[in-house]
Amino acid sequence: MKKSVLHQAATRGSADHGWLKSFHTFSFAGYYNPERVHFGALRVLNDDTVDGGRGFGNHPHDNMEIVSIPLEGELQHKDSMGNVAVIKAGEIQVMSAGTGIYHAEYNKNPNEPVKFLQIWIFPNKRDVTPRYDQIKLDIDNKRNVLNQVLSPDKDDEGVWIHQDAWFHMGRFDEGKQATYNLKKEGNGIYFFVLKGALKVDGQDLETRDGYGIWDISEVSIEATSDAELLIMEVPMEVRL
Amino acid sequence: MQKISILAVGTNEKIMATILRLINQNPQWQGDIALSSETARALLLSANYNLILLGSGSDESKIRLILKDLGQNIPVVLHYGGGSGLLLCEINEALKPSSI
Repeated sequence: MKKSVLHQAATRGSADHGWLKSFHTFSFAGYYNPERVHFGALRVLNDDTVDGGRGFGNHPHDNMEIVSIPLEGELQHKDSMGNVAVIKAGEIQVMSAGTGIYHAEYNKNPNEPVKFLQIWIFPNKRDVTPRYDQIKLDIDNKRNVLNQVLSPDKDDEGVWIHQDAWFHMGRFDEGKQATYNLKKEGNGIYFFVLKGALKVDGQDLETRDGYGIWDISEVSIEATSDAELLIMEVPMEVRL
Repeated sequence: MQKISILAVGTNEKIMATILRLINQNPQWQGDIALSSETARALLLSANYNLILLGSGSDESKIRLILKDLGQNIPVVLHYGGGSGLLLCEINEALKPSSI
């Protein structure tokens, strides 16, 4: 039988560090809510805004698949694997932290904020060799459909990670409909509204609301205004 | 109040130093690190821990064997993320009454 969980935008945890304003869908840093620790393998969904010229200094990660999706502005990235890159809205970045990496992220623009989603997925294998990738997405030209932006397969569309997870993004005009079909049995699907309003499996969702569904094979989506949506399909069984 | 004593095990020296610093930043926690299973065994013999955190490169099966051998029943949790993002939650979740 279908199960679901609703995380309305206003109920998220938050942190204001001056230069960084962050909303946490799940427990993160100083925000701890035992009812909101993870949705299956989806462990972190942070909605970050970083002031112009500011950023995260060099810090470590290990054993996590880290996905960054800029929504506005440009984010400069430097890591211990020697990667130096800038990612901007319309692109997606992925890092497999594996045995351990250090990296720093800064807002490249001194005057404008950068807004981005920071998403962490538990890996299906520990201590893999760290890796980095980023690609440009083509969502603007493909409206009213779900565009795959991440999968477990390096030969498939989008970036890939060490987990049986699939991400899709879509921009919909008001009234348009779509259906999401589950990729793998046992997975759950987490819907995160980037902009506008949608009805997902009959549930009304507004900007930055999150809605997780599992024990279901397909989900209906209807844009009740012009809207943007991120869909994250992840395994529900994980070792914590 | 007695501090929560945490042993963090992992082989990435730089990351383990960060974890140790983050643990000891919390006034309610006290941490030690072990860069090998052998060091972990020695520390487990010399001190009482409330929790073991396993970082990258650690061998969980070896640590569990050591605990069995020493007759110690201590929660063992995997540490993800390297830094401060998940640490508070991992420790709280591992030590909440239903987990022990």
